[in-house]
Amino acid sequence: MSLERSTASRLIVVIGFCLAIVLGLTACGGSSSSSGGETAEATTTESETATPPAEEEGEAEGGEAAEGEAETTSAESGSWENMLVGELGFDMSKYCGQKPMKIGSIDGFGSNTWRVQVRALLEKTASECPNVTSYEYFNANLDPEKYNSTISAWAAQGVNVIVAFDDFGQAAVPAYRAAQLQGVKVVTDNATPGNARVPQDVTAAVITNWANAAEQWVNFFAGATKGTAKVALIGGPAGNQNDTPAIEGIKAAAEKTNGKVELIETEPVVGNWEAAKTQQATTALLTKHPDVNAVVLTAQFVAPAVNQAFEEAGKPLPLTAGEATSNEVICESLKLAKEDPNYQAMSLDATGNQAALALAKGVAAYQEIEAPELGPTEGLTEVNMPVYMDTSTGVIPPCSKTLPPGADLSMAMTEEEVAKATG
Amino acid sequence: MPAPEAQVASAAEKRGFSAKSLLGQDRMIWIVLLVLVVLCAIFEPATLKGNAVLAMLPFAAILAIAAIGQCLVIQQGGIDFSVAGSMTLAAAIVTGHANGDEGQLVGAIVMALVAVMIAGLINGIAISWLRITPIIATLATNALLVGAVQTYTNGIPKQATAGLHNFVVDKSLGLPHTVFLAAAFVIAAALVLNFTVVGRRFIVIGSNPLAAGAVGLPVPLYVIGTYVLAAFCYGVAGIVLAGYVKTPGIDIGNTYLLSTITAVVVGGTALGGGRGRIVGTALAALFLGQLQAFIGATGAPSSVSLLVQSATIAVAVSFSTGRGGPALANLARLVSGSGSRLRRPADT
Repeated sequence: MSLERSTASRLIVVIGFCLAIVLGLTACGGSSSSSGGETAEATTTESETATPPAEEEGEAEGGEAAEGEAETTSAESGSWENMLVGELGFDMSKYCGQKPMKIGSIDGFGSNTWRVQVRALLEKTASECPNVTSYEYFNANLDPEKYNSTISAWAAQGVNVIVAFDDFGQAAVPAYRAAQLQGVKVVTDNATPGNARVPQDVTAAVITNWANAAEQWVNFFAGATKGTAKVALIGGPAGNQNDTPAIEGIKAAAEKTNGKVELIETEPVVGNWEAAKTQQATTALLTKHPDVNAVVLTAQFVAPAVNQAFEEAGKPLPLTAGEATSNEVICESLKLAKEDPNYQAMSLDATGNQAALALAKGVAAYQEIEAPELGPTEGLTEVNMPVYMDTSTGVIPPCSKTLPPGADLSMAMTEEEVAKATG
Repeated sequence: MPAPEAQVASAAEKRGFSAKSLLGQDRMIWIVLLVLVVLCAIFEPATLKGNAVLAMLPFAAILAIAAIGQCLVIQQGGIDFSVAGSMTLAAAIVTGHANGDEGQLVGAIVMALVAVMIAGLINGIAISWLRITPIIATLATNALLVGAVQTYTNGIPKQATAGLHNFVVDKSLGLPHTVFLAAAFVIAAALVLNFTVVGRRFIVIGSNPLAAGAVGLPVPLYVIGTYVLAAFCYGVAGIVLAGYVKTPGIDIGNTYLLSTITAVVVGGTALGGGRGRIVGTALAALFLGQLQAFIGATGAPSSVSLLVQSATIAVAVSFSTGRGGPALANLARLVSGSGSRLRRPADT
């Protein structure tokens, strides 16, 4: 009996300890937002207008920023096919309709700066519709079980439009299909949702047009290299849905360059879209192909890791091109472009805007509003991503000293909105 | 009748601790490492060139530091699944608290180490006082740490200060600083464990906690201390990793959960506790780093890479536990068809 009592008292002490740590860390880490794994509900009532942010200086790095302002005209405005830097290119309020609606946004893995920003962009875009009665968010933290069960739960709770970033490919398709059968409009962005059929399994799937992206990268390499650009692609986890079409596109585009660009590693190198793994993968790549001098990154925010691996191998920095850069990469590019005349990098961005386009398509479908200007209603919505940084043409967007390294100023958000979302 | 402490010390003496024997204890991992080097020299000689080795060493060193913590725990018959959360929390605090300000760096390092050591203390108390199985207690603590990281960072990783990054990346005497740091951990742990009374008591408690308790050794105190020390190792590894990659993701420690256990087992430490191999663990970390570089250099698809890695680990473990020879003999017999009944390793 006394043993039980003593065990209980120890248990109380330990629980108290744990609570003290959590409270202490919460106090240190500051404020806001829900932690992963929790459902956070926020009702959007205010109506906001999208503001083009790209030209805003804010806390941008002084004179250097002026070297190259973000390119906003690389794509024809108003066309769903061409994403824009700093603006959505469509008026969300046109698709709001009259029916009250509940919106859900779900991430397979929502714990990085880019996802946090996309979440804020989606909330901002949804807030343009006064008939949105609730807006829910869920971060599945890489747990497909939680991901699928949350989609099912939302369908049961009457959520009308679900915007999903598909981190699980085919594994999530049954949940999408089941939700669609209950009348929910499920839309995905930035990743191909397995072999889901549009509009049967999902209402819309917005993804990068990889053939177009590859052509832009290869053209950049062809223009920036003095000899032959020997290219490898360092990507995400094995079997992800982006790297394969990207490398196929590079292969096809490189064949048109008469040997100026050569794909020397025909399979995507697994870098997990993460700095440590990317650095190890780059080192291994350099061992296998010591002559590689150009790298494509399907998540360009890991570019500093690639550069570090090249530096440690005693090699000149490679030409880098890719998608989804970050404030850290922009800042590093400004510095490197000054120090090293041979440094060349190019990025396609505004990837977060894909989520807003997906939301608009989902809302329009739920409100039964025809919106051919938002792209096809059958099959994938493949969009061309705009150039955000291209050192070969002197275009380097501003570097913010105050925003976190992972911040992305190419989305349709002002610097203040980005700061608020990531602060 | 000799004092209990003397008995324990004498028992440890009988186990034959000396600098010479330390080398002998780790001979299997030396052999395994040598075999890998030979394979690399034959198939991928570029992986043994200076720059390739220098690029591999920091990751091997970070793994070695974390694996030493895991080794201490496994030596006590436990296992620590909170390594991932501890490393991530340390990385998050050292980057988040300093937030680019060099003046805050020391405070951030101290805060990171204290935070993870408190997590180690919770592990130790849960296992020693509350009698919770280590695997459950440390899994729960890991979940607590992951939640703490997400609360602390709000999903937004910060950047390591330039000072920390430069210290970790820079080299002295041609070697990365991480290597010296790992070497310091290995030497300190090996010396304390093998040549001090505290270390010998630690080994005896790991070998047989009941007997150690019966002779008056403070077993719970040692168990709690082990988890705190292990957490200190994870914390240092997390801080160094944050400095190395500059902007650590908030799941940066995840890959170290299984790799630390692998390093400990390949290094020759028995999962049941008692026999610990600090030097072997560090060599196993080096082995795993070079294996990764070797597989990467072959350009094998990740599926093949995982298969080769797991097969290599299985072979390494079977050899390091002394069962490799009989197993190979069995395999040879099976291939030649000379015996219908395979002999178990225990039969030899």
